[in-house]
This record gives sequence, structure tokens and C-alpha cells, in this order.
Amino acid sequence: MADLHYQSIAQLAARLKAGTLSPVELTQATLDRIDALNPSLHAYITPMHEAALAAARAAEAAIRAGDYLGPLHGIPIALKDLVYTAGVATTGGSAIMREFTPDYDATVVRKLQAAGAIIVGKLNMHEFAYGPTGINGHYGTPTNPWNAERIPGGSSSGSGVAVATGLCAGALGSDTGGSIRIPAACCGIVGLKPTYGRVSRYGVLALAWSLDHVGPMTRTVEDAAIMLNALAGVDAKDPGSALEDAPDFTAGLQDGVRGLRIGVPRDDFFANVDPAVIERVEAAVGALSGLGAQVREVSLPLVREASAISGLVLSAEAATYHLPLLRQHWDAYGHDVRTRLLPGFTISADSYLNAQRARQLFINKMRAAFDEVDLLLYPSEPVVAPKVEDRTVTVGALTEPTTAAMTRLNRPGNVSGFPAISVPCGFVNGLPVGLQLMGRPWEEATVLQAAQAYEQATEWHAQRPAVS
Amino acid sequence: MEDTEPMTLGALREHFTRLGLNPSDDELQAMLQAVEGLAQAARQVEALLTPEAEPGTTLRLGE
Repeated sequence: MADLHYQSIAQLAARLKAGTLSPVELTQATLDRIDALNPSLHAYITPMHEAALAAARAAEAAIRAGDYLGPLHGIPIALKDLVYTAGVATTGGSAIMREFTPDYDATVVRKLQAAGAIIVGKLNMHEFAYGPTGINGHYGTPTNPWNAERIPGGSSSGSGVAVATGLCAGALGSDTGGSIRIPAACCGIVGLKPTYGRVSRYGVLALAWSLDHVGPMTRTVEDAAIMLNALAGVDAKDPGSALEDAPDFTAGLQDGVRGLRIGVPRDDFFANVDPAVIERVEAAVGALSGLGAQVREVSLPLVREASAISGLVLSAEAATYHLPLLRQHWDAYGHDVRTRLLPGFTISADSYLNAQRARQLFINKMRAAFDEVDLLLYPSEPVVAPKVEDRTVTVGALTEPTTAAMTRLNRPGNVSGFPAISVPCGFVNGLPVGLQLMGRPWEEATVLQAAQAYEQATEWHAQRPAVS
Repeated sequence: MEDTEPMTLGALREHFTRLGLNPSDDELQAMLQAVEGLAQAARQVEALLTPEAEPGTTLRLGE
């Protein structure tokens, strides 16, 4: 069964559809691998053996009866443990919610199940999604499979580790300041933050309402498109959900990048980045240029202010959300998360509203930048995954807190709400490097198209960590 | 809270007491740098805005 673990969703789907692989066989193999590896990897908080096997048996019967639902039918998918699952604990990575069992499924769970996916478990994460390292003192920090001394990246740390080690075929993450793209980069997988409003957050624990996104984390770009097809769409239960039509995100995957205009914001996104990381990203620029993309240098006004805007909006919204819980469960919070939450209570109403007004200015500038290009390209992270014990990161003359370093290049995607993907683009000292592509709002298809072209021209996505 | 003046420990303590929270003195001390960072961010953001600047406070990307 070893050949199953690292197959893509698309590959597995072809076998399931043809009847040469059964959903029960695949699900059992996945659960066996979770049982074998999770004690050392800490990727899952709650594996769902019985529910997964029951769903797999139902999928097997349906496929045999000719009721094949599509490329997620029978596929083992796991959920970041802030996604509500009826009857299954949803901890948010927190000790406070250890016993919390929702009585309904999040919209994204219903959508995945409607597409035939097999939910195999709930994944570890940074407590309440409030941290980019993935360190979790309550459930054990997920192990970076490329180097156990390094952080897995967060907050969707279990999602990154589980996908990278074949403990599921795909996973859901959430992203408020980079929490899909950061672990994707650190673990060497694909992570897509869709446009704000593209995927419902109903039944997903909030961190900051106006910055939160839910999206897929997978081993290939095609798999991310397959998952987004199932996840996208309007949901009246999420006030941030948009009335945008969702296209077939797999339709243009093979269209290549010839003629696409890719902007490289070197002044704004390449400053204070490890030269070895820049080397890998510049190689990707060269690869895309060689594939026919029109690459040009661009400048992004206000991008530096995006971190200030994000800091104010995120801190104020997270503090507001957590106030009732802090009053009741002060001592049960992890020290790092409580320490990050408290300053948010000092932000005044006018500062918060000014940040939201400035945010609109930033979005306007970003829209203008996209008049000249179809995509932006830059590193996902300024460095490869730092050591678990590192509290600061130094690049050149700049030393900054690890949290600031890991979120710095990702926050513009959340402040703008524009779609962005991280894909593997090489290794530095045996650790994965992520390449980020951002597109116009609602143009995930273009983002995926370019990411697919790059992925297919390279072998980085096919590298596997040595886990046993 | 007033963002334009440095926060004192006493003001912070009073603010959190009003909220029904009781951070330790060590936590308050450790918080001062982050609070000042947010105040700087507020000043940085305010400097971008003019009365004529886009007043929107709702994220709308389409429709």
C-alpha cells in the first residue's frame, strides 16, 4: 500500500473511478499510516477512524452502483481543527476547547462530503490559529518532516505536516496572516489562499473576521484546484461570502504561461530575504520566463504599510473575539497566544477604523498594480523554517521576531484579500523554499494556471521527506 | 485608549481591569513594547489618510 500515500488526488481519483482501488482500501491505508506515524509527527489531534471507514464504505457502494461524484469521491481529506464537525471534537488547538463538540458541520465540511470526500480526522494547529510557527504546548508541536529541529510553520501546522508526509491526500487550512502559505512553504507543499469571500467560513473558528480565509493544502497544484472546485461558492451563512460565480478551476490548468505578465516586486518583497532563498525564487522567475511568461519589475506602493494595517486589524479583531474566553479561561491559554492577544485591547476605535480605511487605499493601489500585470511573484518566506527555539530571525542587518518574519510577505494577501498560492521551488540546506504567486481578485484560475506550469516544469513538488 | 501617547503600566492596568482581565505585572511590562508598536502602526496608518481619502471600511472585491 506504500504507493498510495504520496499519490495525488488526481491520480487516486482515476484509480477509484476505474474501480482498481477501493475507497475502503485507501482509507484504511491512510488510517494505518496515521496510527504508525502520528505519535512522532503530532499532525492529528483527532483521527476519525470509525466515521472515515463508514464514509468509505458508503463511497465504495456508491461508486460500484455507478454514482461516481467526481475527483474527491473516496479521497481521504483532513481538516484543521478549527473547522466544526458535528459530533467530533473541535479544539482550535486549545486546551480550553478540548471537550467542545459542535452539533453541526461547517459549510466546507458539508461541501467536501457532498463531493464524496472521506474526512479522516482533525489536524493540529497553532492555538486558536494565532501564530505562524505551529508550536503547540497543548497537543505537541507537529514535526517538520524535513528537519525535526525546525518549525512546521503555522498556524495550519498539522495540515502542512499531514499532507507532506502522506497522512492524507489533501487538507483544509485557514489563513489570516499567512497561515496556509507559511506551513505550505515550510513543509514543501502547495497552499492556496483563495480570494476573500470565495470559500465560506461558516462553522470555522474565527481569528479576525475581515482577514480570515479558508483554503486547500495539497501536494500538487491540480489537487488544490480540485479541492477549490468543491469548496468555492456563495454561502448566506457567512456574511463575508461573495456572490461571485465559481468557475471550474481545473479547466485552464494546462494553458501555460505564454503571454501572461508576471510582476516581480523586488524592491518591496525581496528586501531582507535570505540570498539563498532569493536564488531559488530567481531561478523560478527564469523558469517561468523560459516558459513564455512576460516578466517585469514592478513597484507596489503602500506594501510596507500593509503590515501596519494588518497588525491593527488583526490584533483588534482577535482581541474582541477572545474577550469572553479570556475572562473565563485566562490560565488555560498558552502564554504566547495570550501575550499576543492582550495588546489588541489597547487599539482605539478610530485606529481600527483608520486601518480599515487605509486598507481600502492599499487595495486600490494593488488593483492599479494589476493593470500592468496578471500576477505577482515573490518568496513565500524570507527564510527557510527557523529552529523551534528561535525567537528571532536575522537576515543581513535585520533582526526581527520570528512571528514578524514569517508573516511579513504574506500579510499583503490578507489585507488585500487577493488570491495567493505557495508552491515548492527548491531547497536550502535541506529545507523547502516556497514561491508565492498572487493574482487579481476572483482570478484563482490564473494563479493556479501559472503555478501548474511552473510545477510541471520542475520536480520540487515530487520530493518527499524521509519519515518512518 | 489614546494611541498617540506612550502607555504607562498604571494606565494599562486600569484599562484591563475595566475589561475584566487581570494580567500580572510581568505580563503588563512585557506588553509595553507591543502596545507601543501598535501605537506606531496607528500613527503610520493615520498619516496615509486625508479627509478626501477612500472612506470605505468594508472589504468588497467584486459583485
